Amino acid sequence: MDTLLKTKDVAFAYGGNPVLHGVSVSLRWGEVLGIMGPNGAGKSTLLNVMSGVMPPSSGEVLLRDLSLKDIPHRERARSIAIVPQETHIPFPFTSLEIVLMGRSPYLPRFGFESKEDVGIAMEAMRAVDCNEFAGRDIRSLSGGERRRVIIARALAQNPKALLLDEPTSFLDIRHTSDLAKLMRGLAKKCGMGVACVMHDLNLATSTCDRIVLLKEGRVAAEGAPSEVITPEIIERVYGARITIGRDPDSGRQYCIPMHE
Amino acid sequence: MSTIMKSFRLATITLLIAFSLPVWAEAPRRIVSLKPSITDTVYALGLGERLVGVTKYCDAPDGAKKPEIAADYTRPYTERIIGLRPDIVIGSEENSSRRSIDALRRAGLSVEIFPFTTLGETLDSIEKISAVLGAPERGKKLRGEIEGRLDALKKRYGDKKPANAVVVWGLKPTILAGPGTFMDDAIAYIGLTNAARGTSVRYPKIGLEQLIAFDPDIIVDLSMDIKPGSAQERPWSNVDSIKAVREGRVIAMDPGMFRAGPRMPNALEKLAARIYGN
Amino acid sequence: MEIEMRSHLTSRRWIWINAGLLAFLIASIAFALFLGSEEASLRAALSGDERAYAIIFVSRLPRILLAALVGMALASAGGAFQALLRNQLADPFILGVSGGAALGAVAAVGAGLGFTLQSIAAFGGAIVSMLAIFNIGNARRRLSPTTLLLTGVIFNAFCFALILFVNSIVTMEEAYQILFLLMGNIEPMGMGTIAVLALCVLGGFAMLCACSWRMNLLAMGDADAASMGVNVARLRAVVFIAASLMVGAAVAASGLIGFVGLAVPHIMRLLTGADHRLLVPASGLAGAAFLVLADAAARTLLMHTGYATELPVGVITAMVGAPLFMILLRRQQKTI
Repeated sequence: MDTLLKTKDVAFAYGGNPVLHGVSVSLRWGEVLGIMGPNGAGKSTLLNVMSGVMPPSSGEVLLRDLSLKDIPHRERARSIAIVPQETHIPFPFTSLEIVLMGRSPYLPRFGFESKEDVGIAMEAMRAVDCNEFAGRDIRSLSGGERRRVIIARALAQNPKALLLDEPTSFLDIRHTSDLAKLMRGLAKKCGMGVACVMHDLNLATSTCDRIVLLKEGRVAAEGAPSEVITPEIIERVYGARITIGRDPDSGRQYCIPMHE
Repeated sequence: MSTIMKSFRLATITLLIAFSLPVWAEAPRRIVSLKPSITDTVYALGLGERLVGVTKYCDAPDGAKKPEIAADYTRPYTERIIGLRPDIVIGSEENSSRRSIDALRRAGLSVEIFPFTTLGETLDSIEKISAVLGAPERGKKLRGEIEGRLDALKKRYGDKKPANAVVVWGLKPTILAGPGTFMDDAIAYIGLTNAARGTSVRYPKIGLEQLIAFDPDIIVDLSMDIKPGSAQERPWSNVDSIKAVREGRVIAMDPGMFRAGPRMPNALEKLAARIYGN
Repeated sequence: MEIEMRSHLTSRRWIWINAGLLAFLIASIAFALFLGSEEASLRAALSGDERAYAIIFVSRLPRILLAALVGMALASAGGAFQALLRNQLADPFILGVSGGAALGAVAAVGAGLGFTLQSIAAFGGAIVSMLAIFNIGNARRRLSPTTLLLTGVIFNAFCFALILFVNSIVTMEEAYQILFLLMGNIEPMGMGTIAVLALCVLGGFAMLCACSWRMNLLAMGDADAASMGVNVARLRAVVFIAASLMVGAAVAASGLIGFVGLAVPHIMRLLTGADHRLLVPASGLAGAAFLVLADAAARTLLMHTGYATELPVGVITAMVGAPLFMILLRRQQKTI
């Protein structure tokens, strides 16, 4: 049984405003799934619905064949972790305290974090290269540093499915590439299912096993990067023109936007 | 008639008119009062029919028609007062704010201010008010009557060993009459000393522990206007260590009776009757 | 690799700090019991001196207990509201429950009701406002910070307009009582009333301390909290109700005492860190001690000077709390 997390025909509306119409997407064990599409296509909404944070107005979300609404919150939190698009933290927490919060689904009701928990948190921070600011006030960090701390928090949750919403938006090229390596490592070596909302077509091509393209709340295309990132599909979904090239040495596909 | 005679007659008539002018000018016929004590004084002087405006809290003697309401406790209703076209507005330093007095004066009204803080000042003010109203002999007479009654009280009750008393004017916070107030002066006439005379403020706001420390023999509770009238909800209610509470000598009376002014002797007589039981 | 001592909260730190604050609270109570403008010693009180006994046990002790309970309620509720609204500037009066409580008391004054009934009316007003705000703010079942804040501010403004209206049509004595109420005052009360208040405050406090484990997550954001396993809607509702009841009881007992609910949690956050598991109980204990000491100062400070009057306790809390707060803030800003 390959599928870790899947949505069956989910719809979601903010107030009276429908954003998703009947979307069925599955995330498999050990794969990196890219979720892409134009602005307003419903990518973040889909991710939130998949994580169980926002229940869909119709349809179901299944975690290994169990509907999310039948799973208690804490248990769900041990299986699914999400890195939201923005995190605004108005209190003087240190980075370590933030990452340790990821351990809360495992803590006893009124317990405190143990040495193991701290060890797991530090490891998670090392994986995203933010362990140097363990003791620093989170508000004093840059956007990219803060983003890495939140990713570490999600890792500390030790999830089976890791969902990230535009994780690279504040990261420089080195950290972006590190994150891409991390995601592939988590999927291939640890067997996690990683779903990631991204904008960068090239990053998606090199990182993802499969890509889902959303347009106006519906699945417009789905499949391997080479199948999905083609000039025809990109033009149809985004309304933008690209050209595909292939790096002769590595054989890797890349695409260049064409604008006059 | 010769020119001299004519001039003499003219001069006499002029002089007569000139001398009677002050009399006419000194007899204001329309009075606005800004303090209940002043209203009481005007009625006691027998000049009550000249009142055209009083405060919300003033009362008229039984049967008399109450004049229009022209002021709050501290705030004169400037427009209404101007509309009443008074010849004189009489207020006090304690009640009326500087600004409202100035406003009335700027509107062209004649305003006189008198103090009523101590008993002595109250008696002086009664005389001065009667003078301003053109009837100085009435003021002297009223003062004499008041002083006479006070002296009678002193003769009757003054030679006992004075009992320690506090006069409570307000609750939340508890406000007492302190030194230099008219109650402080007045209760001396009925054989009481003010336990709060040692405080340096005229109306000290105290907590329960100060009251316990004063340990008065008698509590004169003039906080009736503050509902409820029920004795149960006074802060000293069940505090038996206070002598007055233990011996049941807490006397609640209507604070309106104890206004500084012509009502004092009456009020003091009633209070003395309640205390000494005769 | 070094981890700073303050990097995270351990059970040892939790126990030590709370025990220390509890000891400080008890010491403050003892200190306040013997501090006063009137001479009274415990030995005299216990060996039959009726006056000393009355001063210490009838006049001071109930006041001190009241101050401790109100301080605990305001400070811990303040910390909880700050987490709920995700804003360090929130104070317990911001959500409108205090406006309703004050209006209840003022209406009772205007209707000529007795002091006990005034307190009951205030608590009733608090409950009614809490339910109203909860229902209005609960759109989409989420009690979102912005909605709560707006509803609370408008509700408060409305209540205070009504209070001013009542104030202008009552007698002068009643207007003075209303002012006294709004300024906030600690007064001796019967032990029966104190017992009822203790029930509300200690119950609410225990509830908030229990919720404090999840409050850290709540402070991150609804989506973050939900993804870490928190039932966000239920937690927000429980925190809102527990804190509102405590604030309602505090206002019913002592009027609107300002500054405690805003400054104490803020100061504690600067001293002990932002972890709510420690912040909530620590704020409660510190707030209790703070108000006990402030009330002791309010009732003794001016007594031996030329003014011989008791100050409203809100004057002391502001005059002491504000500079203390500024000092700590400057110190913290230098380290960032």
